[in-house]
Amino acid sequence: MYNCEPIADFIDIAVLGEAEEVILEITDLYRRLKKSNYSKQEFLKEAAQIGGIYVPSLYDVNYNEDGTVNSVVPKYEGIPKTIRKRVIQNLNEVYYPEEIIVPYLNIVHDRIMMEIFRGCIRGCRFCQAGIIYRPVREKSFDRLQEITKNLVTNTGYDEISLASLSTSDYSQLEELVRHLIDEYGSKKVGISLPSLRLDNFSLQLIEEIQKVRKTGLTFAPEAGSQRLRDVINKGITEEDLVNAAENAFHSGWSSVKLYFMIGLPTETDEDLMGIKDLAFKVVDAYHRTPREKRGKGLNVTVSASTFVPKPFTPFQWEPQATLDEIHEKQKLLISQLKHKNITFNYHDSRTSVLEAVFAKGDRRLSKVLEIALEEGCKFDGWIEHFDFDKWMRIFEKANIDPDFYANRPREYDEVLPWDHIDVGVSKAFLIRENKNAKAEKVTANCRTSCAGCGVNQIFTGGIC
Amino acid sequence: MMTIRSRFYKKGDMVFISHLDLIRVFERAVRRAEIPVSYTQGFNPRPIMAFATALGVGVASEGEYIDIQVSEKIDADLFTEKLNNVLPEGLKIIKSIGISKKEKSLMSIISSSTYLVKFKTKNNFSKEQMEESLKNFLAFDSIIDLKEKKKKTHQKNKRPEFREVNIRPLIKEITLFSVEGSEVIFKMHLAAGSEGNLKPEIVVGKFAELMKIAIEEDEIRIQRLDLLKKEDGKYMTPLDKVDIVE
Repeated sequence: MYNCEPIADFIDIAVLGEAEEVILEITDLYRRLKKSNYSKQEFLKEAAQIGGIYVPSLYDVNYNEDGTVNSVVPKYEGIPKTIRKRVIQNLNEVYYPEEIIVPYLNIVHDRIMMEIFRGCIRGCRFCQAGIIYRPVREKSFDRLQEITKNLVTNTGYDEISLASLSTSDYSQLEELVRHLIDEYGSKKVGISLPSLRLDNFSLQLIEEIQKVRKTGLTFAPEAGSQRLRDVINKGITEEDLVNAAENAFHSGWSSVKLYFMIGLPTETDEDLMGIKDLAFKVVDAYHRTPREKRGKGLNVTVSASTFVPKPFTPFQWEPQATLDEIHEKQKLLISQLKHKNITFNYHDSRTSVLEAVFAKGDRRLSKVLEIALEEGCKFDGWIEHFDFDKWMRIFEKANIDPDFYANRPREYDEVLPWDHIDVGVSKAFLIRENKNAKAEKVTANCRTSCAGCGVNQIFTGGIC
Repeated sequence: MMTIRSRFYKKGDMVFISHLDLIRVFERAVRRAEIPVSYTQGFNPRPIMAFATALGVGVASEGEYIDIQVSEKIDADLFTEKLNNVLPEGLKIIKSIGISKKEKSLMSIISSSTYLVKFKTKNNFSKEQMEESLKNFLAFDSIIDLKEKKKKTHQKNKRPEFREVNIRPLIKEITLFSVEGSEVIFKMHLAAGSEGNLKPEIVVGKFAELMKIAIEEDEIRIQRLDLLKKEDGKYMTPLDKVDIVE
């Protein structure tokens, strides 16, 4: 988590960025201080000197009259004004768990999770992970072969998931997948490729994988119209999607999932109708596929989640759509997606409101959390335990207006509660990208051309 | 292709693993042990393996059986060793043999099971008193247990229906193993498998009810000793009298 302000009152230290190295530095410090007669305050002050360690209690937050943040300043001399996240330079040398606990029970992610790279070249403007995990760093093919061998031997799992933010952008994906099939196909160890992009969706690759173990297929166009996909910089076209779906039907799939977001900046009803159009074009693609090739029983699942503007993204200045607006959008989609082969899923947008408040919150929200705990809020992620009205009463009690956080557009020059956290990507870049979004201008991916986000100036000496 | 029949135990912490979880433990174990197993066809290939019966959660066993089909010939002792190297504590292969293709499935041959069943009575009994009660219990021609009929999903809210089952024919033998104060251990030989199945805890419950002996119902502990097949009127283990393939 990079904006930990809402829980600032409860935590002593936060590690910003990748923890593999810094966690050892913290324990070293702790071990050293424990030998002498140390005080907690002393430990915190020393810890704050370690790169990537944020100690919220060592900072004062000053507010303007309108409630916005005026400044965040260190309480003591020698405490850094900004805290820069940590990154691992060489993923081939960093520790990776190769002997893991294998539970007897069926758990979520009950498979080998193999991280193939960190960071993302894409720069989708809504995506926080795509910014905060920069720069892109790959694990070498050799190292991945070694890790897989150890994990398969140690766990006996029958599935390997190639984990990353955008798996198809791994530069040696094809070699890797072929290797895994050659080596483990006879043992019936399947491969799953989450977060595949449509534009370089390799049908052959997928078909190869299917021979071992069949998996579901999910596409994420995120927005219904080309215009809106340009706004969010999701550089795929309708053609990409329809082709990919048609190819999938040709290879025997009969069910696909489509992921969208609603409430995106600049979204209109026309963009929502684009979701409908895409879904129906996928249905058409199925019917165009010869009967003997396609699987039986078409099922197109359309999922629409509510957009939550996130810190450290080009959309961090954007307001979230109001609850009423979201309900209208959902109602429209429900009425438009009535088709016997289409399933429409959407979320309770009230949880997204809380998400937006806490994502973009400052440390005054700690008070809200404290009251919420006192009033018995827990397991709010489970819908049966979630009481929205209760949360609203708690906000009132804490004298905090949730709309101030979720639905208020910010100016570029406003001091944001997380501005003292440095994720390596410059605010200037985020502003530029926000303007590009408004101009419906697409920014090329990092491999095509460098967009100058600034992360390479800090972490990689100019190259990504 | 060849089938290997193994006897294994399941005890210690492993008694808390359900049958479905046990299947997955074996699936992962054969892969870790690099045993060349045969796989089912289809979208979701699984190692071809079959257990004799499902053991209830909480029940320990000295005698469980599994048939695993391998795709290449493998020495049965080597197979045992390889699996034991990777199985978790509490699960261990005791013996394996390669069996002929003509052998019937474990599930179809199992007809009974032996158990040690420990329970606590609220009052103390002497060995003689307990033996007398057991004798009287076994003297019944019929012991009726009310068995709840399985409901279909859409009948979830329906009142439970019961069926009367005479469990006496399913009891082959019960002997008193020991009595120490309030702690009683029975050795039971009960029907198991496709031709009728009787759970030891039901027998203890009926025994307590009919003999009017108060017991601590939460403190019944069960250990299966072995699973048995019946051939020519004799009980024997699934590893006895089989066509062995080297």
